[in-house]
Amino acid sequence: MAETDQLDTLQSVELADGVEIRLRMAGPMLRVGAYLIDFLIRALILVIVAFAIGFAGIAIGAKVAQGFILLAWFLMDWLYPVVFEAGKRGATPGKRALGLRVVQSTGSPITLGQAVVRNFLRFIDSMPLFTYGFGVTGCLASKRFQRLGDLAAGTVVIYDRMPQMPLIAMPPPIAAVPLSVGLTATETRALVLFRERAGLWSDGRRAEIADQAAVLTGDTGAGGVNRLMAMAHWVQEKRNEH
Amino acid sequence: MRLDTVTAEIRPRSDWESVDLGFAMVRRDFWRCFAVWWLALALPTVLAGYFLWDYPTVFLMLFWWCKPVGSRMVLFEISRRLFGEQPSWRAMWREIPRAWYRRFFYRFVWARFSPWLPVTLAVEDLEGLRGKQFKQRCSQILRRGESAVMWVYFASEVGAAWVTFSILALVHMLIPDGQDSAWRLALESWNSDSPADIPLLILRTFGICMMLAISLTDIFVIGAGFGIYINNRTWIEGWDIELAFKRMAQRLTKAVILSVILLVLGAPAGAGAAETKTPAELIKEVKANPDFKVHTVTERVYDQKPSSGTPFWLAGIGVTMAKIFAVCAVTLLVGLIGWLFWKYRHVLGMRGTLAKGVDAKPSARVVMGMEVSNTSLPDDIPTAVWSLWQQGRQQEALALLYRGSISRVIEIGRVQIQESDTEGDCMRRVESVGQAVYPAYFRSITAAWTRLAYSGVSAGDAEVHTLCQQWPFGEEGKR
Repeated sequence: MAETDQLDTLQSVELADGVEIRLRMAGPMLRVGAYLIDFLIRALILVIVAFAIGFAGIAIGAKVAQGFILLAWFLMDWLYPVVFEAGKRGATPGKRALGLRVVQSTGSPITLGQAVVRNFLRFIDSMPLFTYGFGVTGCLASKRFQRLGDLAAGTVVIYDRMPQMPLIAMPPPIAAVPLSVGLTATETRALVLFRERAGLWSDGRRAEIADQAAVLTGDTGAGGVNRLMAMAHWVQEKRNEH
Repeated sequence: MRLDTVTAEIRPRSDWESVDLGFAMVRRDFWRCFAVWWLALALPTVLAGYFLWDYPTVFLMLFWWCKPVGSRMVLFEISRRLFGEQPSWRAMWREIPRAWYRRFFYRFVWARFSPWLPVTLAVEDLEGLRGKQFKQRCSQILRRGESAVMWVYFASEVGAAWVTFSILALVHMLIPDGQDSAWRLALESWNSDSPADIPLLILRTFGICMMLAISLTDIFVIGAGFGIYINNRTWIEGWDIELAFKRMAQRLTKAVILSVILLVLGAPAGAGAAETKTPAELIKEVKANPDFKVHTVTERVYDQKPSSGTPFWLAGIGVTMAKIFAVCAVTLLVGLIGWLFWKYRHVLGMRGTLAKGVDAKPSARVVMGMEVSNTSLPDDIPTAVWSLWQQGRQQEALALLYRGSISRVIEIGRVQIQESDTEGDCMRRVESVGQAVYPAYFRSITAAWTRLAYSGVSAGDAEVHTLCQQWPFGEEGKR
């Protein structure tokens, strides 16, 4: 089965002890949104700081105040994302608001050095003329939605929050039928999900899906559906009793 | 449509992940998409460009208006590619006239400004539905990911202008110093007395960049819409489960055939084959498996020469330019975001008011686009629901029932329901409050409502009747 060249938005990472985790790569849309939120936050802070320094300017002189404002601007521009992304949550407020997070491409939290590389390269990504043309192009052109800064630092942006999945199960079946053959983990999962999502499908569609598993159930149509439900019931609740 | 030849991983995704899948699909076939987009529009563009050479604004508006033709071609390409088939250029060529005239009035006049276009186009072109069926199907498909589609659509319209500036800036960056005299002259001749009188050269340059920008953004937007469409069908039709069962069936059938062959050949033959191998060969064979491949990472450390450092003046220019830019951008952004929010809420509210004669008060609370304030509901909800149901207005009846129960739950149980909550969120919140708000009853209502809303499976008469009779929420319901 040629599953490796299948297009996907997930990336599997195998950890040292053979455990496989899946990172859910985040594309440009939400990331631009997060950037805009951060931009507003930064602008707001700067306006407040500028006002404060401006008032202080009466005492320290207009030129000095101007210098301080420019300094604040500079720090805000270059350090704001670094500080937040190198922190515990690995995300700026904007990213957090939209459920994003920056991690290494191995899935572990990013280091200070990576945060610095990734954010200082914004200078390149934001070209030409601060439109972020390079960044967005890189993001859309690379397999893991990485902009140039991400590629250089070896980081990826992932979805951090799992959305609620609407599951509507069928009423529990009366019988529990043990599986006649051993199933792989993926197949067992599909069986359980069949039961848990069956409430979302029409009767006809349910039977259509169940027909695909006729080898397992030895029945088609409504009979197949019932038998699959009973098997799922057994897998979920009865299997561990023995 | 054959699921087993699908070329992308089918799994139920969240809205934004499905948008990303769409982007990935376009990325895989980017040059083909780009080519077919222009293939459909090239000839008219050249012709119109010839006749309207002196009227770039009119030309650009016409071009923008005809954008859905290119969208249709991109959809044609990626939808077929998803199911493992690569349309030939001849098939593409034959598709072009259809992309122009298919439902011309609806697509190019009536619904030209529809923000749902990326998804409705898929329903129209791939399922070939028309009229009432088309409408029903669209509202069903848009149940999941509607806000994502609209964000993508608005982002694309703003993004096209943004990309235009990006391209202009890039071109300007690449022009050698002193070679832009024509452009400079044009800029100088554009005097502030008549700002509407833009020099033709500027307009033409801008127009060409904008055409490129429109095509680039449109390709990705259509990909995103198609991703959402596929994701929704995966949810409501269980594509991933079907696929998993199909693969399981293949595996099981293979296993059966293998065991039959082994039985026929007899066990001794198999044993004999194993014996001829020496342990060394066996070890080699096992180690040939890719799992045993030893991966090495070579890290090279270069001698660090004292570098001249990053030129600080670069950063300096950056900061000053950022300053100028940020002032413009902040004003622009604040206006833009305000507008987007206003627009977005407005449309959601319009679609959500299912009951007629609802007076939309600004204080009304809205959950999932449905009003749940007490004033928007009839006094006797179960009776109203049952009469609606008997009139055959099933969607309205169940929506009213669901709305009503949420309203009562908020009132009686003081359940903290947010405007952004989904059905699942509401259910969890109700359950966390406890027996006072009848979670079991709420669960059955939620199930009936979601079945109808998401998969179009209507509840039975008996079920609705029982739900109406069991209505547990206090006296104010039975007044």
